[in-house]
Amino acid sequence: MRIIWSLLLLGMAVGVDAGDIKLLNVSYDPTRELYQDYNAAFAKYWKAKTGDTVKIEQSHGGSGKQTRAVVEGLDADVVTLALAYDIDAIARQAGLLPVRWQERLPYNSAPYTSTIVFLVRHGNPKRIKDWEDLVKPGVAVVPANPKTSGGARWAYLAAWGSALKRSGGDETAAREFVRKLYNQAPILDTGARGATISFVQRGIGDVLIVWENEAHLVLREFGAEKFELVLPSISILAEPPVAVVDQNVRRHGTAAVAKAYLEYLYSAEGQAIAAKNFYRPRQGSAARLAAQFPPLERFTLAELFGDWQRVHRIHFVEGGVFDQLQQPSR
Amino acid sequence: MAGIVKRQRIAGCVKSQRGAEESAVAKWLLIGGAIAFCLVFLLLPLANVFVQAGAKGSAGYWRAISHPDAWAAMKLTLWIAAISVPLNLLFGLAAAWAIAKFEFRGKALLITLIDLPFSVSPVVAGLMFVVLFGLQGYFGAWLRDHGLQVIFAVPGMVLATVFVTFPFVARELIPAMQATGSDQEHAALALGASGWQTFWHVTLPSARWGLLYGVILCNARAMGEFGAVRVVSGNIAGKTQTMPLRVESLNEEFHGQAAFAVASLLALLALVTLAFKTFLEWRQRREFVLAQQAAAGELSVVSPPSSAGGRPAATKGTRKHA
Amino acid sequence: MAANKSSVLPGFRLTMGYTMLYLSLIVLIPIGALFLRVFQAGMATAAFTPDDFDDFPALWERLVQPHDAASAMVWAQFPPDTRAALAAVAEPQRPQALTGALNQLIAGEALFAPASASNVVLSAKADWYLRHAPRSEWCNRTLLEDAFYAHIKKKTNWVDLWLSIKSPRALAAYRLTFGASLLAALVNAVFGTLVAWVLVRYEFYGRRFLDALVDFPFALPTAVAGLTLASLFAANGWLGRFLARPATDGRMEAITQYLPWFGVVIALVFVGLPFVVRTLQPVLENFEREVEEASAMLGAGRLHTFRRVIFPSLLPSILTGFALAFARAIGEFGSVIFVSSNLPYRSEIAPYLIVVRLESYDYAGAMALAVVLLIFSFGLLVGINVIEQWAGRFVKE
Repeated sequence: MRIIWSLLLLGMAVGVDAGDIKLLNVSYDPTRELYQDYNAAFAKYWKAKTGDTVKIEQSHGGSGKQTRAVVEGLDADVVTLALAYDIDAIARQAGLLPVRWQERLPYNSAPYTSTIVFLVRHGNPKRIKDWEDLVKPGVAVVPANPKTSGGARWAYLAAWGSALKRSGGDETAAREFVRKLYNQAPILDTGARGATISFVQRGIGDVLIVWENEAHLVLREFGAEKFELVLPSISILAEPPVAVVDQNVRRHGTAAVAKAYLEYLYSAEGQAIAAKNFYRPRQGSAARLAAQFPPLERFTLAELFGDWQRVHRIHFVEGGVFDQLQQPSR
Repeated sequence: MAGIVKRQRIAGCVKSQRGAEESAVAKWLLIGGAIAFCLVFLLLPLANVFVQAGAKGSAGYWRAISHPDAWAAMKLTLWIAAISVPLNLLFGLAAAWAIAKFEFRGKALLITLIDLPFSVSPVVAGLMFVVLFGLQGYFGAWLRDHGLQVIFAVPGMVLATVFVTFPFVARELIPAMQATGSDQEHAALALGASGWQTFWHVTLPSARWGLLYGVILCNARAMGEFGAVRVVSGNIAGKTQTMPLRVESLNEEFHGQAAFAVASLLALLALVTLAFKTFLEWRQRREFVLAQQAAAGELSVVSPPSSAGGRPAATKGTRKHA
Repeated sequence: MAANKSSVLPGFRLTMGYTMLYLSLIVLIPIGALFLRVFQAGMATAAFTPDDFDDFPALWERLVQPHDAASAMVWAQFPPDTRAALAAVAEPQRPQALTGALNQLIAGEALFAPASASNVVLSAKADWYLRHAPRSEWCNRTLLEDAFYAHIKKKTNWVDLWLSIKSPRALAAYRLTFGASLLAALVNAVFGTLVAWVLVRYEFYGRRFLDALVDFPFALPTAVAGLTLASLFAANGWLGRFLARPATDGRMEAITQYLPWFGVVIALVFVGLPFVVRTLQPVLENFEREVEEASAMLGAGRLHTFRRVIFPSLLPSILTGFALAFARAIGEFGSVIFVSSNLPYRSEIAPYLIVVRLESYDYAGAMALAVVLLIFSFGLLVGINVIEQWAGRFVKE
């Protein structure tokens, strides 16, 4: 037994190398590139300010998966997830941070925003311009699974909300629209990133419903001559929030640097990095932003759906609306 | 007993009576069918890994496998295997000794229990350790208070791997030890050898092939485990990311070629495993043939090998493999 | 086999003790923990049961002026304004207050862990009432019952566990898991037998290579298998291009798209192949050719010999191999998720559904499903051991 434990401890020692301040940022899929850039910038800033070297480790995955990991004990100092519901879960289920975490940073703790757009193949062969076009017969839509992916939740709500807006608040019409939309999906990946890969690399589907930043990333990685970004007339204001995990930073003694890490996201440099990675910054020169991010009408979650708890209970629990829509009619 | 000759896998070369062989057409049809099936399900997937890995030139390939995170993943993968294989080896030896050399009640149940991890879904295996050591689980809070991290750290990944590879060595060793019986051990003891001496000098050499098979298979599986490790890993690049997890992660970062590059290393590992296994089988068969010839020199009657003779590991071991 | 009941050999207690200790630590305790967790979840009884609603005034009393610990706890978890609103409702004929209270309940703070399947139906119902029922009906007792039952009941008990085990989505996942595993095991039984036969009976160029390659699916990590199979069968993959069909717009549609279960079966065939081949090979090698020759001399055709002589004696081993491939397929995860489109109800396997539930925080549901799979795989294992014993007897005879 002692041998086992000493071997396990040895194993633990292998994973941890000695050194300076360490920060673990547990994030969701599409932010890999953003935080790679941001971490370097922050390390430099922190070095200049305090003289300390800070090394930031990143963990990425579907937002739900990452949340579960933190709830079960993944030692995150900060979480930067796709939606407030996930951080709520960490607060409620594990009590690792106060329930009112969202009030601690400006703009609902979301330093950048995004929205849901469409990515179509070059030339837009199916002529997809707006939400209604997605449910035309013969259009294969590629969403991700809203039960496991944060981005997909925003996409689901964007679809639902756009239908609500169009029909003047008719829930039945919205339900029917969303049912049709998901029934045109040939594939339902767990994560937003998985869906993108299916669409881009495996050539599945005609239109990808995707984070705006992810769509831009695809255009950059794979070339604008292969795909086109389509902005619908209306979409949702997606606010991916960030938070310090109080209990964990207390144990690690990293409270100050963790807080600074998140606050620096709101600085000019942080905002510029977010914009560079295609997240809509909260501040910045309006003209320059308008060039990069064409304005579109965005409704908020609170405006149409209330809060995440309610949304979850109605739409995403097992047997909820999403499950009912997926069920084959017989 | 000409059967033995044929059993040495030269059956096709032995002329047999008309009517006990298929017609040439049928024979080649069967061979063609088997080859086509293996081509589609074995060779093409294998070749595809390497072709995709090299699809965009060798520069990208080298960059992918020399990335620091890739190195860290390799190191971690090796460490996990280096810890879990000896643990299971030790267990396999103990279990095989107890089961093969002694009779006791509940033996069948014990063997079934040892087999159990084979058929448990890896996801369920990972989940069990989350239930035990997760923060919401039974020991999570205690561990955290004592500064120990099991889940989402290396120990949890080792535990999950140990669970998944649990039966491999034992399942190879038990039939190998059973096959030799206990007479030699009795003789050794009667001649005054101690228990350990008997084990080291009598039992172990005769079961060495089974042992090696078990270790090879256990190692291959330990390095390649995905499902269970995925559930208990925090997936921190460079820290708790094993090679299979890195493959998944790279794939999700749009680095298709890099994913295949790391995958090609794992495929290479699989090929090395196969080569090693084939080599062992060849050695074992040769020993068997030599023993037969030696025996045939003295006796005119050769007894057919026991069921565990020709390819023991292939029967028992490769079976329920994960 | 040497029939020794040796108590002379040393080390039984040591090795047996170690075996049991290690087995318990690595296998039995974790499995036990999973069962215990599900059991605890099931025993977490509801604070209120439907029967409580039969005596509605008493329930009301309990809620507003809680006497017992359970109701006190429930009561304490309401936000203050909801508590005030509810207290106001205790006085009858105050529909406005009731509306407020219900709104709080339904749209406000989540009082408990995420709702379960039965809760959704109820909360959706309450939601519908709020939107559509005429105001005068808001005092309707049924509505109150529903709303309260939905939100006061604790998340997990046996009923909820059972509901999550047999939810339509779970049922669809079992169907696919078992159906695809069965199909894959069948394909393997047929082609595995063919491959084993060819490898043992014929000499041809590349036989040794093929023989070694059969173990490839064992040795290859499942994630890599999934990755390469997915790219092989994609619309532009080496094999996928022959199986793709033109979609309505002329673009090619991969087979994994128009046949969602196809990818699952392919992955399971891949991982299961060695089981059948490796189970059959030694049996075929030891097969008495004399029997075949005798059959041939007696005038039987080759096909007849195969059907009547060879096949029956191979059957137990084929069955064993089939069962092993089947068992392996049931639990397979890594390779399938890469290849399958993972559509709920259509191409979602049970282990994947466990992950989905975990990642949408439905822990109890995930564990319930895990226990179902665990029990099934244990049953299958016992079944395989029985077949093997039967097969062993068959061979000896």
